[in-house]
Amino acid sequence: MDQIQLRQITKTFGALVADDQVDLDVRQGEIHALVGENGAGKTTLMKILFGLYRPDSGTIYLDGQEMDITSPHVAIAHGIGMVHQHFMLLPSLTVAENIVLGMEPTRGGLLDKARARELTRELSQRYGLRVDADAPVRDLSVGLRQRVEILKALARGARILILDEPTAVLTPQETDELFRILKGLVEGGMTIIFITHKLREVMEIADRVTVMRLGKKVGTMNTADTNERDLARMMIGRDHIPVVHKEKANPGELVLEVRNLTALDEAGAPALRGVDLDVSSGEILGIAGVEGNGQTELVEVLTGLRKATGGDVRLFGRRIVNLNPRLVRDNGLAYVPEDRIKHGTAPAASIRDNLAMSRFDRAPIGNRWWMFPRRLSRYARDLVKRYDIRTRDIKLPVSSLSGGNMQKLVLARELSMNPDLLVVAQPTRGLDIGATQSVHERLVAERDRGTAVLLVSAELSEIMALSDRIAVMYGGQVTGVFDAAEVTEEELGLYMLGIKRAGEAA
Amino acid sequence: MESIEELAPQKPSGESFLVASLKAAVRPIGVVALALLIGMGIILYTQENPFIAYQNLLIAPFQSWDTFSNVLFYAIPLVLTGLATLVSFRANVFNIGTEGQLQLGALVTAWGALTFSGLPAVVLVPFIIALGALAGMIWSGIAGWMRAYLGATELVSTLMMSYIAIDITTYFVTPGGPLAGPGGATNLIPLKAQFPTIGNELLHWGIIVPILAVIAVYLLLYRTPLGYEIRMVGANPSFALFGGVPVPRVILATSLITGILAGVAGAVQVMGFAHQYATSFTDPQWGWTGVTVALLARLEPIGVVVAALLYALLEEGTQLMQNNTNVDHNIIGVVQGLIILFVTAQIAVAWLRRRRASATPAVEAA
Repeated sequence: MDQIQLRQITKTFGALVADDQVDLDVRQGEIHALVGENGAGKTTLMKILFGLYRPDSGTIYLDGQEMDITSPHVAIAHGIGMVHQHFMLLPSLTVAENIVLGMEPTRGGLLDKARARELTRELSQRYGLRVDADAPVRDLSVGLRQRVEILKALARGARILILDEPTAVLTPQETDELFRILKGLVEGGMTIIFITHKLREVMEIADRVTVMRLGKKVGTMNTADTNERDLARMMIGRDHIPVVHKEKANPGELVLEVRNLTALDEAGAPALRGVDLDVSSGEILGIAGVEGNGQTELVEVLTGLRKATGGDVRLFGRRIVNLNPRLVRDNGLAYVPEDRIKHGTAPAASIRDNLAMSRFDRAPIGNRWWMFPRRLSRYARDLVKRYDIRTRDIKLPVSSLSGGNMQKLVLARELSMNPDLLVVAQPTRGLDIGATQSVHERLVAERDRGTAVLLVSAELSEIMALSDRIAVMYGGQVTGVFDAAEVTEEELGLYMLGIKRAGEAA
Repeated sequence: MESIEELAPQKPSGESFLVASLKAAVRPIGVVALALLIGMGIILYTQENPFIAYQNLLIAPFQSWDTFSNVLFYAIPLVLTGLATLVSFRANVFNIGTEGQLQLGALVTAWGALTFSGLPAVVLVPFIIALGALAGMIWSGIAGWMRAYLGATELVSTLMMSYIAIDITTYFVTPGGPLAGPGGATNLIPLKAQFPTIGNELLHWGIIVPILAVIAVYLLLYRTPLGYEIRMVGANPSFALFGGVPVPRVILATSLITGILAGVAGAVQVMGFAHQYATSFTDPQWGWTGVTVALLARLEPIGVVVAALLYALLEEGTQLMQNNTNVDHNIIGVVQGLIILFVTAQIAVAWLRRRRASATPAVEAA
């Protein structure tokens, strides 16, 4: 008998049917991938299993027993653990303190730190997840924080582990390490449910895969009996893995010049150590690099969110370094930020208000002193239509949109500025295939319109697919610039890892 | 474990005017009704008849123009201080210093009326209201500036500056002080600086001021670029910043507007009610009540009107109840205390949420 059986699970949020009579069977000791586009209902289904949502109807069986999972506490008590996309750790506490949080061993009413440390070491050894029990979580990399989250679940006796898009935030190396850990856990008898939409990962790690589309289950199969192409077809109901069609770039005049740019990170350590870059109109310059090599800081300096300590940035020859974000924008820069929930939108505000940002005080919406609500609505509706943002009403909060539609909204707002330079960071992170394709098409169309596009992405395949030229960042510097048509992923990898750099090797 | 925002019902920020107004009106009524219900239990416990008590409290004020006009009178300062609080709170700036700003505004208005009494009424009236506004604006602006450019927590600075303001104004009118007239107050302001009364009771023409203020604040929030910036800074400051909103300037602006409205409230109370500034001005605590009113109104301008009227109704009704029944008026104090309890829970939540938002550590993949 299957360890987990979900039967006819239905969950609605108002008019939206997130899950529609979904069945799911998961066997003990397997890695079961749950794939589907954004909004397919994967995360909702897992939140129901973890007790965060109550289903409208349907039944959950655990080891054949009908269960009523009313809260995460109940789920945890039955051995279900979940690692969320957004980590739930307290940065100022140590790894050991985070792991025992909520189940603290005490001595004389106080936290027994020695016991907490011991417990952490014991778990970390038993499962082969190396962590420093005494390190404050704020000092850990994303990959390590995720490891702490997994340990937290294991410390609570999880035998079923749900991971919600665990690789979205990881570097390729961290992903490999995670997969090694997951395989080890499964060998020890753990059951793992793995939400993703990266099909390559499904093929690499999962035993079986369930595909969902628009709130319904499409099917479950052994990964050995399927392939990426078939899975993609099931996910998007289309017949091909999307590729961006683009003509050869036709670069025009120089738009962005970055010269010897330096900046510090939050801790005051040098993050940029003399960056040089050029981007011309009508081309996409991709910045490749392992995350944490200065890409984020570069984008922040360019957009006015971080002060440079030296060097120069010019847009059409005008100095824009260390101007505030408004003045940078007035000079013709638009920006699609890495984190659309934290920086790209105000999720609680309406779609209409979100689309108004950066132009609410000018035509056609209004002027310096007044905003015209009808004109604003007309403007917002027009953008919603032109950019195919799927929503019932522009007065709904942005948080009602799926990830893909949220990103369309950000793109709509930024591209409608008719920028000279578009800075885009991780434009398709967390998006499904369909949404990714539509974002890619937009970016190429923007290039063809003559905009200079600076693309930062942790996904090398995205950089390869979109860029006309590729600059590799390593250690806060640009270590090589390549013609995208003439460079291989392997070659880029050597630069990304700092093994090669321009001027040193041929 | 998932974020609270995701589980909580979303607040749509752009409904039609009518729907939004209705909703804004219903919320304060609900909270007050709950508090009254508990009060009813207490009256029962004291073996009095709660229905007769509440008939006097809630219905009698509507039964004659005189009593109803008093309800309107009591609502005047509360609408103004409620709006004052609202403007800052909408930008997530927790300016709770309206009490002190109001006191300063009142003192300066009284001073202006006495000093420039030679001016004709048409000039004098707007002039001294502007003086009161200016006083409140400067006081609130100091705290706003410290928050915007130095990062000083406004929850503390506005509270502390409020006490300082009250000490200053008290000094001015305590016997021997620079503006002291007889009995711990300034002299009476000239008749031409006073708002004439409407009807036989307390209501005066100063009621025009809060009516204009509601319209102005509504238009400010929903029809002007500054209002948009205020709402977006409140909704997500880092989004506002990245979108080019000068966040510190907006925070300063909200503080100035809060101070203006609080100062005007002080001016109106001097010109329409007390006709002097007295130490007793610190007693009714219109400023503090304004915080409750704004929260009760869920920070919507139309809601402020409803919440202020409800509060005013309790004020007038309590007196009628006391005159006509044996129920102790302190019961209504309990009801008001419950209302404050219910709504201040919201402050705590909003405050904690802001702190958490600014301390959010982990990487957020969307």
